[in-house]
Amino acid sequence: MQSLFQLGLCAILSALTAFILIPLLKRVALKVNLVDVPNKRKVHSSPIPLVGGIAIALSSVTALLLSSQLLPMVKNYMGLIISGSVIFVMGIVDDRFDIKAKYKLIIQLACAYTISSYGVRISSLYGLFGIYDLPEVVQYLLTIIVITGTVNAFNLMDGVDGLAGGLSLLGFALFMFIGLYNHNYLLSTISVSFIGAILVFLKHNFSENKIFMGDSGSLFLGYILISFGISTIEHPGAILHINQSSVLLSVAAFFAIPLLDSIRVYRGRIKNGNSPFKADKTHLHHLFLSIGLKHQKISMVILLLVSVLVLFILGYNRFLSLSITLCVILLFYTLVTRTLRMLVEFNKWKEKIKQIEKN
Amino acid sequence: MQKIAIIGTVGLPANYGGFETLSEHIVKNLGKEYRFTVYCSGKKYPAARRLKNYLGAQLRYLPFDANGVQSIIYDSLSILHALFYADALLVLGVAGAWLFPFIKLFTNKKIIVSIDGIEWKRDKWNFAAKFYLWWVEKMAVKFSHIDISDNESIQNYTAIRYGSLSRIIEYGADHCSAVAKTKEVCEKFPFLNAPYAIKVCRIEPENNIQMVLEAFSKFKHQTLVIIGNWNNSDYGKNLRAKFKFFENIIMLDAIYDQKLLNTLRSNASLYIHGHSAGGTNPSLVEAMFMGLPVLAYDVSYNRTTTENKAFYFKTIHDIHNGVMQLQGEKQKQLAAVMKEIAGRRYTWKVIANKYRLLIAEVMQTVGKKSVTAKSAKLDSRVLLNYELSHLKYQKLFYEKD
Repeated sequence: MQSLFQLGLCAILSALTAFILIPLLKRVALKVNLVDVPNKRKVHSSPIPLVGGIAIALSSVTALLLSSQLLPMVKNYMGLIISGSVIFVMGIVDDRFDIKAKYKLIIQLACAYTISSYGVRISSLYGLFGIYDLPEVVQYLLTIIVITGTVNAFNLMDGVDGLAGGLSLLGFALFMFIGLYNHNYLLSTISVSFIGAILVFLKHNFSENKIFMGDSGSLFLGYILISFGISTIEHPGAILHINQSSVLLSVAAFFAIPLLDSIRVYRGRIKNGNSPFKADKTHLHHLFLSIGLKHQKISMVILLLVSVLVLFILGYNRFLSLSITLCVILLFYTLVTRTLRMLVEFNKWKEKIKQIEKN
Repeated sequence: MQKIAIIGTVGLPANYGGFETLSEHIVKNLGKEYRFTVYCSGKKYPAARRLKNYLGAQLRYLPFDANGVQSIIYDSLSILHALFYADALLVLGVAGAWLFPFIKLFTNKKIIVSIDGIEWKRDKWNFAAKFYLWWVEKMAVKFSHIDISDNESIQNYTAIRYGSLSRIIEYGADHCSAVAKTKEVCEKFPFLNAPYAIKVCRIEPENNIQMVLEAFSKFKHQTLVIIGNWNNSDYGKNLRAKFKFFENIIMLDAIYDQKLLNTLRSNASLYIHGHSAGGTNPSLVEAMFMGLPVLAYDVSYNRTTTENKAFYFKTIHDIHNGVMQLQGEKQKQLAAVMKEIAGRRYTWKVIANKYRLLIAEVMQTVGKKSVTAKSAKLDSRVLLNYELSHLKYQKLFYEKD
């Protein structure tokens, strides 16, 4: 009970800080030009302050500094604190000055390497392709690829209002529950202090006078989430009410849709002869946009899809291995995107047929 | 004798629409060369009226409706049943075409499909039905051996969407003939004694009934007769209520007595054709065959059916103009032109002959014909070598200047 009270306090503290910080940051952002200027790829029309990420990071850190978990956190997550700060600062610089994709990638790889060397590594394939424990070199390589891939996938998801925010909210909620059930109090505390700030951010994100989270937000939150994911799979907690395989499968299910979508987008770009980092309009949320859904609805639908997937996997985990889970997820994702692409095509033909009938 | 199954119609003897009349004439004309089986809807033919054979064709009954949602089951079961014996399947309509990929993969049955009009864009379907029809049409064209369009504009559409070369076969109209008016009929329908315009159609928005009614409501001296199922929908009832006070507008309920209907049609001085959907509409073809001058809604299908020689309307204003111009000598001229086109293109002998050639072809064929010439698929270096590069990019029939 005591601990639940402290968690609640942490969330409120973080939310309050965000509540005060955001209006201040907004004013500063407009002055120093930390804004998103509309272009033909973007869906808004006036410059929008890119301060969501900064607000979320500062608010949750403030709450954590005042919580009882400060020392254990520094002890347990030193690697994450160091590399996470680098990602965060890189995000801010990118929001203001646009860093070349190549340099961003190098920094991300370096950060992923740093955190791996602090022990946050994927040490096993948990039976996928019949493989379990991995040699150390492979552990490093795999971890670096997974972290960099996920961070960028999160970054790509940040395209309609509330999507990246909502996804992070969902992710931290998942970790909060895992922490609560498995008596990993540190994990719950950190998750909850992010949740408080993200909720306030979402309110601003949806309002008239909106803000975006920016790369500083999406890269940073993606980085924290995937690092949590890896370390939680490896060390699920003191008492295993949720066993390791459930943690593994639910975390995999959570990251699956952003990851699969980024793979699909990269593949499409390469197939069209473009650089995989050249921005375009082929993401999952763009598909939803082109069948005529509004921003908030799109975020809702995608979040719902992710939640359904996570809950389904959690509910049936007794019957599922990692291989089967990945197949189920792949099937589910393919079904969704195929249907969407057909609907987009269908809409196109509705217009085209009118043209054909005229002449 | 090779066996052919005709699938997707309501059934024989034909009482209903275009596909039924078509299958009746195919059976009649080609019955000596092939053994036909025609699938019929048990819902429309109660047990007492069912025949085992008709014009030499075997009839099979399935307890489903041939139209609407049930057509998916009706067509699918017919197709599956036909796979047991038929050499070729003549499938009219696309509802069951989701089976085609499997048939093409696992059997060597030949499939000819007539895709009807562009069914998926019609307003009478809800979103799910439109989406299904849009998708299943793709299956129909891609996985059949030959696909038939009933109109050049539909052929353009399939060429643009699928790159396949669709064959055009329209409908016949010579089962209808002009009937002179008798005294009795004139007494019952007094409007026969003066010139009148006529429109026969289902009372649905896609047939532009409201526009025609509004045009004639401002046109007091010209009589308009519209025959259709007015009481079938709120749309029809509302229109009837709105326009019933105009003396020059006569709204009759659907007439199933073919002879009476032909009397009313063939004695009209103008045929108004408001259909905006589908390809070649049987009713338009019939009117042309009976020698009526035509004022048709301006879509590509109607223009190709009438060889661009009729009068066309898009607005109320166009209807006024058309009616004003189509008087006296001009009316007679247009009627003769329409009659000539129908006599040349829209007789069942011509149509059945086209099917005869098609069936003979499908028995030999392996792959589908593409719209692009085989030369265009050659490597550009090879073409260049023979100084034939121009063959790579040739203008296709649907590309306009």
